[in-house]
Parts: sequence; structure tokens; C-alpha cells
Amino acid sequence: MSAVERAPELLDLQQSLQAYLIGQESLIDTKLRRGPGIAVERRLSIYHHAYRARLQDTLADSYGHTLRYLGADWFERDALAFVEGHGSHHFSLRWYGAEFAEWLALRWPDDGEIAELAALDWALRGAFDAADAPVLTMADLAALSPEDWAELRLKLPPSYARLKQSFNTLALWQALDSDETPPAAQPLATQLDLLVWRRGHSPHFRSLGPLEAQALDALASGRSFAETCAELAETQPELNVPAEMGALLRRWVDEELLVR
Amino acid sequence: MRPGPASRVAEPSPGFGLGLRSTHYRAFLDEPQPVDWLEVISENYLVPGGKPLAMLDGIRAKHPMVMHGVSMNLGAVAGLDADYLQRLASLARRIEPLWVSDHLCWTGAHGRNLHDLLPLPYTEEALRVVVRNIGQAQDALGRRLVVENVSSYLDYEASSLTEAQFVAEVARQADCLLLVDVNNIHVSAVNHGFDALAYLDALPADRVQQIHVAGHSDHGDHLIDTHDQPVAEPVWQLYAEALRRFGPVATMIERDDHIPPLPELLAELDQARAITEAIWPSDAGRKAA
Repeated sequence: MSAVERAPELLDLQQSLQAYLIGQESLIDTKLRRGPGIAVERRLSIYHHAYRARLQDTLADSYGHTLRYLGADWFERDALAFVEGHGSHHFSLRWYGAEFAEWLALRWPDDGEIAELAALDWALRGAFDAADAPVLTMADLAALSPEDWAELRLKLPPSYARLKQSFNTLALWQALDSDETPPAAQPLATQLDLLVWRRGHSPHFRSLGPLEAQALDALASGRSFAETCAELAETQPELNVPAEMGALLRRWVDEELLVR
Repeated sequence: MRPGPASRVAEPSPGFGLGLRSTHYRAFLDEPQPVDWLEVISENYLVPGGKPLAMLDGIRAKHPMVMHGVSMNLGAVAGLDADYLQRLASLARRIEPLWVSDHLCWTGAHGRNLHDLLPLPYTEEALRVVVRNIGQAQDALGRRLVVENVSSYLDYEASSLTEAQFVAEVARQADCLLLVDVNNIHVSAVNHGFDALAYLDALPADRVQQIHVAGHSDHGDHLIDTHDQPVAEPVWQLYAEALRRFGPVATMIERDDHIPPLPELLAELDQARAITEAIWPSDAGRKAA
């Protein structure tokens, strides 16, 4: 027996109220008792408003810098339009709005920095409560034998994420973060690689040079430290790769970017 | 007369608590606070890791906790989400709460979550669905679920029971416990025009595990359950009436928005203690000591 057959009247009521709440045609007003107090239409509108307000507030929480950049009125308008087209399918509001940056890219095709700001907001949100992992220390590396080094696979933390930016979005983000007027948005001459991760309890981000970006890509794809060094030496023959990688490795350990 | 220990299904009261909110993390970590327990919103900690879980573990080391969820969807015709229940059970193993609660409502159909505590029709059919679902939750958690009455603005034509009759039947048939939110009763009583005292009379006193006291906003011809205001006088009066009927039940001030500094909430909690002390002198005295 299907679930629908077990409680057809309850399901019908739920479908009617849900359709009304998400802006579809609904007969819910014919299924409500008209008693004392305020009219049924006002009663329904309390839920209609609450549904939208809750999802809009969630977007405002998750996309704080995007909100500041667009301003409250524009952000609210965009958030409401997004909410009308996007329901939540997760038990927690924490994951609502994962597609907001992509959606903003389509809504603002001539202002690519808006979607880039949103993508950064979301990536930092993701780093904030990503899974924990014990950080790799200099002592861990010092304990490795030469044989260990040959096989060594460095592990990136669950909070590790990468973004690419084509605008001066970092400058915008930093100005917004310190409550300053952001500079004019401008396209970059070359795309910028961005690293996002968590140190302690705090999400962090910074830009990456080409060598470091390539090295992290190789490590993230599962290549060993030795394989990564060999690959870089081949593609960047002008560099002293062992020295560069030694410096990066120290930096990564200092920044808690590697885990055991 | 107070329900005696032999007749009570609910556990004895651990005293007076507050809802843990992130703005108060430091206050609870840095020094002892005069609360007997803290209620945490389960969903806030159903995350992979980071600060929320670190704060939870740190504060749990100092205070007993109860878990309060908003996404169980007890009115789900298709049954509860097994993955959600598994995560909830795992969080319960982590913090060993005094009890686990959620709301007597539905939150969405066909996999959609409307993130609201929507009222159920008070019918025999809905009763069967809810009782079956509470059974599923209790099996997954290995303990009685504590179920809270929600505030509502709608009344379905189909309802054949009063809300209080429905809540009481759910508790008896599912063999669960109750979290009585006296603000929600007050808000709904005003909005639907029912008698809040008759509502309290209809509930099974021996199954009341916890009371929520909270604030609302007054819109003239109706009230909205915002949980973002100080507790209003009629709600304190209803709280006293609830205590007379249910005994000295574990009580919590529930503030969900416009979170004030901790001392303001502790002052409201002291008011709850004073009301309990006036009605059940020995119990309030014991917990205050």
C-alpha cells in the first residue's frame, strides 16, 4: 500500500498548503475554517510571508558581502526572485542557496564581480563548518625517513576549496569587510587563482601564484609530493623547483593547510 | 494535587534552562552561569565540524543539554527521513542529552522543506500518521521523544478534534512526552478564540517533560509567535497555571531572534524560578540552592 493511500486527506491538505506557499495554484482557502478573528486570507498571508522571509534571511546570512555590495534593497529583490524559483530540499537551512552565485551570474551577465563575491561568501561559509582534521606539523615532517619522502602524499583539509576570479573581487571583498566604500569593479588582465581553507575556527582565503596553484592542483588530484615536484620541474624549467617547493611546504605547514 | 512520582511518565525536572545561542558561546565557556541545563537546536550542530561542534563540546563539558529539533516533520505521510534520524541519533550519542524534542507539525511534502512549523489537521487520519512517525523516531533514538505544541494561524475544516485533544491523544497513543510551549498556547488561543486553560486541562500532566516560555508580537487583531520579545504578562500567568496542573516542570526561556545579552535572559529565568517557588516551594528552593 502506498503512503498516499494511507493518509489521502492529510496529504491533500499538505499539498494544497505547500502549493500556496511556493506560489503555485492552490485550493487551500476552500479547506480552511472561517471562524472568529482575522480573515482566512490574512491568516494564509502570515505563512506566505514567513516562508519567503526565512529563506531570504538565510541568503542574507550566507551572502553577507554580496548583500553589502548590492545594498539591502537590490539584494532583497534578488533574494526574493531566487526564493520564488528555488525550494529547499535539505533538513537544514545551512545548505539553502548553494546555487545562488551561479544564479547571480545569469542575472547580472555584465557584472561578473557580483557572482564572484557570492561564490567567495559561499566558499567561506563552507570552510567554516567543514569537517575537522588534525593539522600536519613540522615535527611530523621531520620524523619522515628518505623512503617516506619518496612516497609522501600530502593531504589537504576538508575545508580546502579553490575559486577563480576574473575581476578585482578580492579588493571589493576586503573593502566591504572593513565597511569601506569598495573600488570600482574592474576585470583583471589574467584570471586569479584563490585558495579557501580554515585555520583553527576561522575561514581564510588568499590568492595563489601559478606555481603554487599548479602544485595544489597536483596534490588535490592525489599525486605524491615527488610526482608533483617532477611535474613542476618539467612544466616550469626556468624555476628552481626543489627550493620553491621547500618554501611552499613550510608556508603550508605554518598556515595549517596540510593535515595528517 | 501534584502528580506523584508513581504516576509520572516524564522524568523528574532537572531545573531551569536557556536555549544556547551562538552570541552567548563565550559567556558559557568563560564562567559558570546560573542555569541547570541548556537546550541546543539540533540542526545547528548537524554539520561536519568547525566552530559549532567545538563550542558544543566545550559547553557540554560544563552543562547538561537537551536537544531541540525543527526538521523531524512528524506529520510526514511518507514517514520520517531515515538519514536525518540517523544523524540526530549520532548527535545524541555525542552530547548525551537529557531528552530530545521536536514539534507536532509538518514541515514539507515530497522532499521539500518549507522550514516552517505548519499545523496539522486534528483528524484520526493525521493522528495515525503522527503516532506511527513518533514510533519511528523513538526506535531510532532509543528513548521517548518529547513533542512540542506549535503556534498556528490556520484552522482546517477537516479537524474533528480540538488541538489539545489531538496533542493529548498523540502523547498517549505514541507513549511520548510533551514540551508545552505556553506562549504558543497563548498566541493560538488569541488567534483562534479558544480557552487556554481548557487546553492545559486537556493535556496529560504526567507526560509533560518541559515548558517553553517565550515572547510574541502583538499586531492588534492577532498575535505573531516571533519568540523575539520578553515574555508577556499573560504568558507568565499561563505559565503559573501550567505549573499548578503539571507540577514543577523543567522550564526554559526560548528566545530565537533579537537575542539580548545573557543577563536579560537570566533575569527572565529568575522570574520563572520565582513563580515556581511560589507554587511548589520545596522544588524551586532545591534547584536554587
